[in-house]
Amino acid sequence: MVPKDLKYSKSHEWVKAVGNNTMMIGITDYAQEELGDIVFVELPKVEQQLKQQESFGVAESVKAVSDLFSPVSGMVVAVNEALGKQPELVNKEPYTNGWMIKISLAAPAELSGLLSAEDYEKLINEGSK
Amino acid sequence: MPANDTNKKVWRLLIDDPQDGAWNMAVDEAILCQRKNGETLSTLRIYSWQRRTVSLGYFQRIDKALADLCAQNSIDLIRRPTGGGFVLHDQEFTFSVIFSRQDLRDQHQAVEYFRVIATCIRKALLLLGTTASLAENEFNGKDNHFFCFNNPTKYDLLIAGKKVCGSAQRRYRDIILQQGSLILSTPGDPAYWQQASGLEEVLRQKISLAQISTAFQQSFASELKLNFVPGNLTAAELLLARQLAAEKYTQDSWNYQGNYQGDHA
Repeated sequence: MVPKDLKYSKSHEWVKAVGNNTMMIGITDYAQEELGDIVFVELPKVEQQLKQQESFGVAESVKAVSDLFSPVSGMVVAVNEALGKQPELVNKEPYTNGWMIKISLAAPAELSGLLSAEDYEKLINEGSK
Repeated sequence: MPANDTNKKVWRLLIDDPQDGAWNMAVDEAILCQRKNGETLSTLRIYSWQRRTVSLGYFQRIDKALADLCAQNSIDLIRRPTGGGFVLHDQEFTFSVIFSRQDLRDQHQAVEYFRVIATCIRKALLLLGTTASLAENEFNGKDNHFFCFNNPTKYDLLIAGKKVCGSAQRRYRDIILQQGSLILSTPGDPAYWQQASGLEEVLRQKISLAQISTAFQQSFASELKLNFVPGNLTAAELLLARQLAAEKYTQDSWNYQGNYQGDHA
């Protein structure tokens, strides 16, 4: 299931507008399933500047540490502290309580380069064939 | 193993002299960085350690007891760029594999890349005269202080139910660094090795690193349908490894905290 009201990157992150120029970011259900059970998450500090496609943190699952990538540029304004004690939220509720960071958008034009839910669904369906 | 079969992929074979832990980790990360930039070949690297060293997984915390134990026994401590648990690098054969997902048949579940590499190692063990199986236990990595070889988990190599080879990965988009240890013997505290066994103990004979290296080359080449070319680090890898060793892997801020934010990737 791919929520219709979000934007997506080809590298399986989602973006949701949550306020004036603020975007919430997480990884998709497809991505969490690919990673397996997540046991640790390391997120950036608030006020860190991120460029589009830059690594903003890492997650450990099944003895593997994977980099996480920001689908847009901007400044980190919040991180999901709950993932420190409950990293499994990324697996269980990837689109809601498993969110990772909120970013104050630096380049709104980047949003137009992201995928719609329909296009993202096509991407993962092609990838799984 | 002809290197001129144009139908096969070409990987680099890197065999290093014994080095300290900081250099060993820095080289693996430097190759990962260069491989993701498309500036180096996928690589099987075989290396060893100048001194006994405990390596920690990326997210593991060092407690005082472990730090004291290492200090009292002249054992170095290093934090890896990969996940997983503590490993004592002593009587072992150490290797890393740096490859692209496209090098292997694409797997949706990322853990399946462990299986592909484990299949190569199982074949190498067969060439060396023993039969291994792949562990099926699901991973429970929430225990932050676990010893790798006391926790056989999915796709580790087992002989007679005991773990002989364990691995951990770092993934950067489509590029994967897998670091692995094949245990030769299990010296010292038996508590550490309850679930483990050494290859020399299984075979009841000494075995040279060169023999294992040859078996690895043959098994990886045949299982993954590739040719190896012996090589060295590129100039860019060497430069980056020196920088990573100096700024990251020799620093207490990395080895003792694990919260180092520098990004050479």
